[in-house]
Amino acid sequence: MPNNSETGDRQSNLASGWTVSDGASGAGASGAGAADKVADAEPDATAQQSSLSATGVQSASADSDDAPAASSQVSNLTLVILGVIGGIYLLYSVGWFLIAQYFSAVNNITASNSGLIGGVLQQMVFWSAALAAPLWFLSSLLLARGKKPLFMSAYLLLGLIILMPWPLFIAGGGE
Amino acid sequence: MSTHEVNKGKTALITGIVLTALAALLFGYQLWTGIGNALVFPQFAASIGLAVNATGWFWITVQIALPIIVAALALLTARKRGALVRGVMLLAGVALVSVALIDIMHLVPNTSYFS
Repeated sequence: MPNNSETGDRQSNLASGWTVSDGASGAGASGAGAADKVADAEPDATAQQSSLSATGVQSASADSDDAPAASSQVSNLTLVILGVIGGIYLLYSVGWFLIAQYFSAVNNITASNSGLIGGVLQQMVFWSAALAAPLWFLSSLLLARGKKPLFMSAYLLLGLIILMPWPLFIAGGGE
Repeated sequence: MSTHEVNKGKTALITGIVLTALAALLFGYQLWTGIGNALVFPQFAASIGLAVNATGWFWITVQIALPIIVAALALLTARKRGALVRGVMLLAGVALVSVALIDIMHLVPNTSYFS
């Protein structure tokens, strides 16, 4: 992975900041911590190590395919955030897929007078809910370009709150 | 700018326009169902000797307002970006409103609309 010496030092500092704030990040975190100890002496080599460990964490968490495409532009901290939170978004996607499947089936039975076009549009609206998590994740990548990692973290965490698949957890009163 | 880059820009533009059109259609349908509920629910309530109460009107208003607010927010966040980003943001907005509508449909009992 290419690094230039100008940004190498900054990147390793970000990685160490992530390690301190989240002590339980597993093998990737300890790798970044070890790399940080030699940060002052060899910024280039350190950045290299941090990137490797960050990539390890990211790929271990079964991320979607969005992160690798952005890896040429984003920092290591951003990659870790994308990997960890991306895994949760993947779970949300599965959850909303199941919910959309349920409501789509129920609507097929109960929808009577909405007509063909209305029925198709209603199905599209239900199934678009299954795309909510991937689209929110994608929009965070698009909007966070050129902004601080904090912006993307906040945006992704907001998405996790808004897109919580409640119908999976709470028995409905509506149906 | 090379031919390849021009084609790439054109593809992004067309994709963005298609996504925007799709999002506009689905936002329109979401708004339409909200307005439809506002028109039909009072009739339905009257037919069973009840009326739509404050709770009912609150949720009907939310269903109408959500697509408008979310579409406005999506356009606002994408206002300085290209057509592709705008299309993705609008479609994400549609999906977000769908999620909210399903949440409301699931969590708020229809019977609480009438009294």
